[in-house]
Amino acid sequence: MFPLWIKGVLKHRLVQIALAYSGVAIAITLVALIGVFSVISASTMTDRAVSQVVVDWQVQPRPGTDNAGIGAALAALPDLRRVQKVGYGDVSALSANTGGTVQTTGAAKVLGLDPGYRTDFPEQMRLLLGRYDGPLLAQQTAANLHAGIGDTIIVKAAGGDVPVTIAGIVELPNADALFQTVGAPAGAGPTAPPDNVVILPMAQWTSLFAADPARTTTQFHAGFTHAALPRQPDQAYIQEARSARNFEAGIAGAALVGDNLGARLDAVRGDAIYARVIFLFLGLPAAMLAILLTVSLLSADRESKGRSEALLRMRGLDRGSILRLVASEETLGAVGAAVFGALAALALAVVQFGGAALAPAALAWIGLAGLGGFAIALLCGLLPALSRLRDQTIVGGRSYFTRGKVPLWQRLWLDVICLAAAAVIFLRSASSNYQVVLAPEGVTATAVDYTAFLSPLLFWTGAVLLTIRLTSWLIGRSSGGLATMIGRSGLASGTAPSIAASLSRQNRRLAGGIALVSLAFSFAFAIAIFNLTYNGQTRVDALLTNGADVTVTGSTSTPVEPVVTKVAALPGVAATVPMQHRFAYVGNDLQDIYGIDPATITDATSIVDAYFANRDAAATLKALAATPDGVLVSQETVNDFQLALGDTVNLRLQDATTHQYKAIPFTFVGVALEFPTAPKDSFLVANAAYIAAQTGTPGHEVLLIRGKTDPGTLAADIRNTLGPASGYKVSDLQSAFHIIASSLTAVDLGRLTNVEIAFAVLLLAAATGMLLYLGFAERRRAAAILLALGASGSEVAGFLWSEALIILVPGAVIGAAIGVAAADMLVKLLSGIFDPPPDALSYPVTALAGFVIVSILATFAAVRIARHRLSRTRVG
Amino acid sequence: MAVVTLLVAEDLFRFYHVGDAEIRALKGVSLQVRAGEIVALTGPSGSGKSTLLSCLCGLDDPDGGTVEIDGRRMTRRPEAEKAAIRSSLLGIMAQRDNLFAHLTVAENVAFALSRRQGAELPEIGAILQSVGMNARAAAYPATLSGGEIARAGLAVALALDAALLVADEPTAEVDAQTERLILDMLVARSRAGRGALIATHSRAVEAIATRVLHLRDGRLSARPAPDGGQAVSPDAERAASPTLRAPLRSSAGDNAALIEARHVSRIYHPGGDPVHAVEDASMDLHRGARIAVTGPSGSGKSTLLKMLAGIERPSSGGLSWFGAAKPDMLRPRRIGVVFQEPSLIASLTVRENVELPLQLASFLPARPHPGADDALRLLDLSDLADKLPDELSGGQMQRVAFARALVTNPEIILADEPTGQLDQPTGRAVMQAVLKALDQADAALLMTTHDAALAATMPTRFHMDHGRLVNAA
Repeated sequence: MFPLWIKGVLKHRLVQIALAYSGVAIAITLVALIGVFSVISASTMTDRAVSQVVVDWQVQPRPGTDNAGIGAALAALPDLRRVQKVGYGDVSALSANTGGTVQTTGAAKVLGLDPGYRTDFPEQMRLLLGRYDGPLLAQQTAANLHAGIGDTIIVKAAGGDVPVTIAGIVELPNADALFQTVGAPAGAGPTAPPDNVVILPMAQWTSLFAADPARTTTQFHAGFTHAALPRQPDQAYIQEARSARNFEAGIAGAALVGDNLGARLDAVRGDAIYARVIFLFLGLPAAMLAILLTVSLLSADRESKGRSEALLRMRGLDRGSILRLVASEETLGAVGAAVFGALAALALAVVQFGGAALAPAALAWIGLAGLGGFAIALLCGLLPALSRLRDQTIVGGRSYFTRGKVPLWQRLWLDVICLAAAAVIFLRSASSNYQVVLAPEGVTATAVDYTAFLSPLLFWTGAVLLTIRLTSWLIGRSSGGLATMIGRSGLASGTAPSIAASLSRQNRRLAGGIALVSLAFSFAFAIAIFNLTYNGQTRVDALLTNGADVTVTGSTSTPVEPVVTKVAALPGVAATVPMQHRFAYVGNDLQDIYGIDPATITDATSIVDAYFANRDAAATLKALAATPDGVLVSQETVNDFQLALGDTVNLRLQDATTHQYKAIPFTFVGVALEFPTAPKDSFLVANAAYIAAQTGTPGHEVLLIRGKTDPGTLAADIRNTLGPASGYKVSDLQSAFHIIASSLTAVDLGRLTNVEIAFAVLLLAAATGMLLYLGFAERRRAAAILLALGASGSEVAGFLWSEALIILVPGAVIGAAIGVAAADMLVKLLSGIFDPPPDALSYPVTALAGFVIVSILATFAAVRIARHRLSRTRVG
Repeated sequence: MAVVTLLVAEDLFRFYHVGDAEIRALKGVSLQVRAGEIVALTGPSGSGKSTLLSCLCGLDDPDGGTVEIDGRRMTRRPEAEKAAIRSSLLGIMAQRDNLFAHLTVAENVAFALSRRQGAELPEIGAILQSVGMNARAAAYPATLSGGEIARAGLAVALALDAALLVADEPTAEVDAQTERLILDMLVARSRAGRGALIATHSRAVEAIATRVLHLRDGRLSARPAPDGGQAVSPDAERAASPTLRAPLRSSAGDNAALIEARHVSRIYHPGGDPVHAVEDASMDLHRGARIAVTGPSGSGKSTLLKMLAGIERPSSGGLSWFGAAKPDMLRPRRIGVVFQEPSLIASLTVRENVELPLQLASFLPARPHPGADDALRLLDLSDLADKLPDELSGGQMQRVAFARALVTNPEIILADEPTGQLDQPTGRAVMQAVLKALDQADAALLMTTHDAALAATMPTRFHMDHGRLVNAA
């Protein structure tokens, strides 16, 4: 029985089965690719996080312990790659006599390094001027002391003033970690790095502090091989934290481990979980849509399947036998789709990621997607058959058209319930300090609020069901209106009433088609809008870090004014705006202060609403411009000093003449949350002209440049123009992408969303073209009757076009609306990944128009092919 | 030895609800079929015969009453039990859709045989031979004529060699020779102790029946078999059939031919090998002509009719319509067609189906024509106007198709087995109404039929055999 049946199916229905199961293949490929993306991006995040750590561990022996023993214990660790001993010493001040004035700083930190340190940990410092072999001065300290190469500064140590001749000026990009308080309790705030730093060769450092060893500490800086780290950041963090605790336990608490690698992984794992959540948010609807498409494609010929099953029942086959026959037929398609889908996913993954796609975890994903797709496809084929066998009489199954009954979900008002529940959950989330991902610093446990998924899921489900309810109701009751519409649109003239009556009576089937098309559109729209908004915000994030497309950074002693004209003349430069970057004391807290011209700053960079507490960038800049002594203060400072708008804030800035810090009054005019190049926590923004007038230093330290070309290329041009020894640092947007705080940008979401958009187009084409085509094929008989009655080809096409457009137009409109709402919901729910959150959704007009064009083309192709095929069908 | 009762139905009721209306298809029907009996179930189209058979075979659930097959309860039992009864005791042939479209005729029979257990299986060829279908064993259902489809369906029903055969119009579209073959087979089964319940309009089937039951308005009444259970010949049936006189018009009148067919042939290549459906056929169709084309099923009648209607193109030969070489804009304005198989659009009501030709661009109302309601009234279908085709019986669907063909008041009606699904009184009434309408319009009629009595009423008769058309009168 089975071989006979399958042989007939293979000979007669192979193409139809292949078309119907193409939805499964698409679903499998998509889900497998999302999985591979997830696996590989997590691995990439771990790699990038690890690569950003300069020193994995800073091991600080407790006072009185045997340093050699600690060193030996470290050396015995199997994964140790390098270790260096570093001396830290405190002195009361530094001073320098330069330019006829004496500058004295506050307390300073003196580091002692062995000659091999720079080789082992090259990213720890960057030489700005001079050479490494001798005492080095940190950039900010050199600025404070007005000291340069060859100048002698005085180190005020306990044993007396010690003159030190400066060999080089260095930048300490890793200062936060380098000067961290090792062993600080969990949850303690970060310690600001010292303002003044001198780095001495170890011998000179030892000699300096020989008289006062109590003011010194020693650390071992260690680096490890990372081959054994798990690929998932959260698992890597757990393993790393465990290793650090094991070491501490192994040396009986004789030293504390400053676990920089663990801290970095700790910071990244939250982002990694966010990334996983994004994959779920983006992937789940895609998978669900693909499954629904599969169900729809498989059920496009449900009427003939129903008749076939009814005939089997009439022949005396029991339910089990029929299901086995159906399963054997569906298995053909499901296996083919699973194999094709998995192979397509593998091929695409290899094209995208090369050999990484062959990693066991990636292959496992592809395999699981194939198996899952197979199982779902089989169920999609079997469950409707089971439902028909259970609920239909044989006579009912043999009918060509029946007046349907209202489905259970509609009687239960499930659509309204879903939408109401989605609204409640969303409002609850939006009204609280909701975080979809919780990864408390220093705690290995993480939590993902998976209920967050419920809101968009319920919204999508409810919206689609409501679409079915409303369109079904509307189409079922508007035969006359439809006829008028069809007649006026020119799709048909005389036959419009019959077309309308026929379509009106098929309201449930059409509503299902509209719902599927709307789902495909909503998915495509939501993904495209989310993608552009995310990319836009990533750019804003990068702009925030870098300041502009390209930024030239000098110093107070090397202001940017001499190069402004030269840079502005370059062909790729659209605008240049100088900006001051100085330091000011707010009480005892040294903060960055940015001097700007509020009227011109936006020529070179974006100042968005989200940068300010009042969410109004224009008004804030206007207020600053209107108040010459105005200052924008960070929220933290406002809270610490209980400031109110209009309050006078006295800041201490360095005077150009005396080189001493002096109090300057400012008026508090607004709260800045973010600002280009500014740190995240505390900073100030004021009018550059006022700062220049008050400090006597008119220069600007930073030049913001808006480019007309690729920022990387422009930055290279500027570097060439300025020359290698100019003392200016040139940075661009692209490089900022890789160093900005959120490692989420390490996840190449763009590639994933591009793949998703490609699949959205496929799903859209399938939901419109293929579904219509299979539906038309099912109604071959009606077309044949029409032709035999004397209908022209264009009149048959009128039937086809009317049905196609009744499905496509409302589906597209409703889908677009649902897509926009869903994208907005996604952005709001995933606000944690946006820094700062976007002001508004970004609409990719070209892509959205492309979706519409694809669906129109697919519909057109379906109608044309169906018309051609139906014209060859005969009746009688 | 006690006679085994194969089927017992007690007090069956079946109601349908269409909108707010309740339609009572069966009103307390009781019947029995014993082993060796051939029970003919007659009644006008729409009287509930198909509904009754569906309820008896467990294809539909009656609203009241019980059915037992060979002592086993069929009504209100789990589907598995009903399936077991159908599988072991019943051979069922429905009015349509008896074949799986993806299997050939032989494969359809083989599939049915694969369900048969125990006994030695008969040859597929022998089963097909019994219904005259062995030559079409390798054909797919889509390539069969209406009569061939019916015979193949019967072959499948017979393959199980079930104790009780339940068949709905098994001879409706078959020629006299094939009908004879089928009747002989039924009689042979009866002699072997097998039972049969046959819904039919055929007097020949009634003639071989041991009992005839008549269903009208959902109620059953007994009627004695015309010949005490012995078969009657089609000639005898023809002689007994009521008179239906068509006006004596010649197809070779002095007016110009509406349709001229000259040496037309149609060759199909279903499996690669050529099949000559129609060979070198010539005929003229004049205004007011009444032509019957008879011939065995599969002889090419339907293909000829489709070529005359301009639906199929001939492989060779020439055709002209109203003096033109192309059949442009002929249907439905000048030519109305009634097809053999149910040809109503399932999603349109009866009225909407009948209105449809009036809406087509090719219909230019040059001549007065009835409205859809007039056409329905003409064929006594007004009560069914708002029903969907799936709510009609086969005969009712055929009448609606006729009303649809008449509604444009065409100059020619081409009808393929127009009364095949109708009982004789209804068929006669329909034809009378049609002929009256055609007379008023001076329109021509060409119909294919297996009904010898009906064919005899036409002044011009052709016979087709193996694709060749010969003048029979």
